[in-house]
Amino acid sequence: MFAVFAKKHRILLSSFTLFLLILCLIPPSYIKASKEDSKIYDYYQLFEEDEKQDLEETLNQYSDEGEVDIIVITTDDLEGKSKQVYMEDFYDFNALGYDKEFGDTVLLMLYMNPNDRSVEIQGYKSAEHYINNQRIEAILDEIVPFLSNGDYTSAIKKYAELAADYMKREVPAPPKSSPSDNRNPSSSNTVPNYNSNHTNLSNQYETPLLNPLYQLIASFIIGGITVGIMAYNSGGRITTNNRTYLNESNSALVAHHDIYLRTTTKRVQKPKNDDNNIGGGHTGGGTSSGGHSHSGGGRGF
Amino acid sequence: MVVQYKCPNCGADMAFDSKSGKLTCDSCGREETIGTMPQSNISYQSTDNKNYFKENEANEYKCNNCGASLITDSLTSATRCSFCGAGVVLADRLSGKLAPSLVIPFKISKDQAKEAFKTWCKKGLLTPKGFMNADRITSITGLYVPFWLYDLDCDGEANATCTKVRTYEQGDYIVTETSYFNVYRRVKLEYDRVPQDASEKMDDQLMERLEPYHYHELKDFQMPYLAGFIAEKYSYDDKSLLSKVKQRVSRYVENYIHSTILGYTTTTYTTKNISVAQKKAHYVLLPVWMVCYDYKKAQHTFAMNGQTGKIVGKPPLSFGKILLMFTGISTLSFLIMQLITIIAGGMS
Repeated sequence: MFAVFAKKHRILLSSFTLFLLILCLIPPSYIKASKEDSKIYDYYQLFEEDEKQDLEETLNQYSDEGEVDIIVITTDDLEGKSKQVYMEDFYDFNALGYDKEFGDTVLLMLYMNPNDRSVEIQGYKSAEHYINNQRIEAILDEIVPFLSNGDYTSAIKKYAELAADYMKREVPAPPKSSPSDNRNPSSSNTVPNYNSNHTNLSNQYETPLLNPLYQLIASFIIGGITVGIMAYNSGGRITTNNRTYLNESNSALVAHHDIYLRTTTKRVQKPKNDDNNIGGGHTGGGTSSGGHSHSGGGRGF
Repeated sequence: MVVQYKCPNCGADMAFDSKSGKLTCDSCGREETIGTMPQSNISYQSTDNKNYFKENEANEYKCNNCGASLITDSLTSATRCSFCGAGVVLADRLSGKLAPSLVIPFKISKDQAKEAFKTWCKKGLLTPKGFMNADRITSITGLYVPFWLYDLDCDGEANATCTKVRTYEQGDYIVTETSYFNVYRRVKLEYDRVPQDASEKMDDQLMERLEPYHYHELKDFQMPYLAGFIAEKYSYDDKSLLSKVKQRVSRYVENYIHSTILGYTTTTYTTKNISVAQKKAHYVLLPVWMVCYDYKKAQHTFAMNGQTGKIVGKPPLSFGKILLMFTGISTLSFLIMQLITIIAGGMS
């Protein structure tokens, strides 16, 4: 619990500084513009003006259909943040939402840095529930082929279509969850369900070693093993070993050799669709510095 | 043949005293060194062949003091008369082939053993509270248990394929380099005085846990050491127990070989040849305190090394305490990990 606090504290502090920085950098007119019903934030200028118009229309249409703000960002500058944090800050800063500020939103970001071209999707509020990590993976499966071919408009249209579709379809109950997790979809501001809650935990920490859930399991294992050994040894331990009765002066290694035979080399490509960030793909939500939890996922293309 | 030791002062029966290492008279407190005990004060049942006893010549023994029949089973070689309490040694069961060559005398007295056992009960972290507080030792018996101590020559040979694995990243690839080695080891080892309990009544595992005995206190066997204690003769000879010892020592040799193969990621043995040959076996008597303890209408038997005081035996376990311990340790390790998280978080 302390760790979470320290972690949040650190993020809060750094994001606050960043927030001030952004305030200084972004012209006031832009802030105004962002408050309007724009769905595309094309900082990278990936699209022609007419393409943009077309996409804007499509996104608006699907947004209404799915009752969710379907947003697209393109950029090659994360302002020194990670992709996830950049998007979280984007959500917090623009107070996105379909029906209200900080409402139901699904964000897609095309990160166009030539060294790490990738796509990232996050779902907020009820979209966190409906567009959960598994569904984000499914969306990514559909759109990454388009992106790899450079067909960005088709990718975005597909994304909007799938997002709107998923918003209308109930999530199958995750295994092991209690019935209460299968809550009424219309209550949009409810606590994240079991599934996203779980993945929140796993994404908030860089390594599983720092994840409280794993730590809890590990402590139970340690406790179990220790008590098991104690119970086993309660009847007295064997304190003799292979040296106890050895007459060292008359014992020796009399012959030995270590002959090198051969070396085999195996080369494996670094995983792409793995759970960790090394390969470019990952799954998992998190919580923005503004305190909005979300689902998430991304991969390179 | 029944042998008893009479006090040269007052004529009462003497018994071996673990503290002084001498024969002591309970009545007048006289101490007599084991080697210098006057022959005239050693009472034999039959006087015609004082120094030579045939093995197992009699089946029924009578106490020299009171004439009562000594209740023994066929393995007992020393006991106390159940009527007058005199310590008696059945000499014919300790002679010829049955003569032990060495003995470690008791170093821990009955009172010390009781005290040590009580302390041990209290120390148990998982034993129920009642067990810790209760004082219900029903019987405590000083027992000389027959052991064979084996001197063994071992020859071990092993071939193994070992690997060293190196993993590194190269561009977009993870490269795993596995180097194979043919590894050969041959050892000649000598194991001295590996004990094996030779009494069929004793639980082998319990006896193994009692080890080690410190051999520097081994004495040439003399019957007075047994006075006042219970002793048994062996039920198995050295040949019939050899296979058990070989098994145990083979394990030692394997471990030894394994400890000489260093610096590899994996070791797979292709061949292993281990031969163990008996050089000598010594018949010895080693001291054990057997403690019977009553707890919740069940008898618990514990054994204590009569030389070092090490206690073995299964104490009752308390479910509540196990749960408490488990929760405690789990919570503690969880807190430690959280602390590490904070430190790691602070650094990154």
